[in-house]
Amino acid sequence: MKNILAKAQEYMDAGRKVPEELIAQMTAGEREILEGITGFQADLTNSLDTYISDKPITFKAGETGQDSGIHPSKKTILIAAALFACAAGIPLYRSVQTTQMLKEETRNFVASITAGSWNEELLVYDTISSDWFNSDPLLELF
Amino acid sequence: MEMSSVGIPETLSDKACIKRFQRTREEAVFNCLLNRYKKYIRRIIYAVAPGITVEDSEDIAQETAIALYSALPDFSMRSSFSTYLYRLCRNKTVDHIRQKQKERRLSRRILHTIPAEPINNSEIIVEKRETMNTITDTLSRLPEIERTLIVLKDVEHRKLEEISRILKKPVGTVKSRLHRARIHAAEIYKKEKEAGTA
Repeated sequence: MKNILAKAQEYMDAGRKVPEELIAQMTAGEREILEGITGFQADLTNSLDTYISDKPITFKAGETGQDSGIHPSKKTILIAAALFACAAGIPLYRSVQTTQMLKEETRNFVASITAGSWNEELLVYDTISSDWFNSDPLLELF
Repeated sequence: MEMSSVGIPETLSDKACIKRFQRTREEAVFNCLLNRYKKYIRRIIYAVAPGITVEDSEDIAQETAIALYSALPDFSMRSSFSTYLYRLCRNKTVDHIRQKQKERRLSRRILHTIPAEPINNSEIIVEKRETMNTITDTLSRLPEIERTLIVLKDVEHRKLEEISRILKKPVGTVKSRLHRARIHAAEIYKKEKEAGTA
C-alpha cells in the first residue's frame, strides 16, 4: 500500500491541492509533516523571490577575448582546405616533373659525353691548336 | 509586436533565438535569450551553493554566460535548452566553488552562512530576512541532489520528466527522492525555526 504522504505529494507534483479526505486519513504526525512541507515550500518561494536578483546578466563577447567575429562554417573550412591542397599540389607536381626532366637531360648529357665524342673533339682541338701554334703570326715574326 | 530592450521580438521562441544566434552570432539575440533565464540561472546557483555571496553568484552567472556563448553554436537541440543550461550552470558553480576552495578564499563557513547583503538591494523587513536565513541554513544542510530537486520542482515548477532528463535519473527515482527531500527539508526547517526562536 502506498504511503499516505507519498500519495499527498503526488498531488503536489501535479500542481494540485491535497484533497481534504486524504488529509483526514492522516495521523497527527503525518499531518504535521505535510504542514511542514507546505510551509517550507511557501517560505522558500517567497525567500527566493526576494533573494534572487532580477537584474539582467550583461554579456559582451568582446570582453571575453574569445571571439574574433569570424565564424566560417564547416563546409567553408573544407572547401578552403581542398583549394589549399590543390594550390599547394600544382607547384609540387611541377617541381617533381621538372626534377624528372632535369634528371633525364643530365642522363642524356652524361651519356653523350661518355660515349667518346668529347675525346674526339679534344683530339680535333689538339690538332687545331697545334696548327694554330704553328701558324701563329707572332711566331712567324721570329 | 512587443520588443525586448535589445530589439528582439519577445514572441521569438527560445528555439528560434538559438537558431538565429547559431546563424548570425548576434550578441543582442544571445543577451535576449540569456535574460529570459536570468532567474533560472541564479536559482540553480543558489540551489547548488546556498548562501553563496552576491559577488560569487554574479561571477558564476557571468562564467555561465561566457561558457554558453562559446557552446551554444554547437548546441544540437537534442535536449531542451533549460536542461542544457542547468548542466552548464551547475558545472560552472561547482568549478567556481572548487576554485575558491583551492584558493582558500572560500571556507566552509561562507557556504553555510547567509550573504551579508541580499542580491536584491531593496529593503527587506527583519522577519523576512530571518526566514531567508533559516531557508538558506535548511538548504545548506540538505544534500545537493535534494536541494536541486526541491528548487526545480517546487520553485521552478518543472515537470518530473524534465527533471529526470536534467538530472539523468529515472522518473521513478526523481519522484521518490523528491518526496524524501521534501520531508527531510521540512524536518530540518522545523528544527532550524525552533532553534532560532529558542
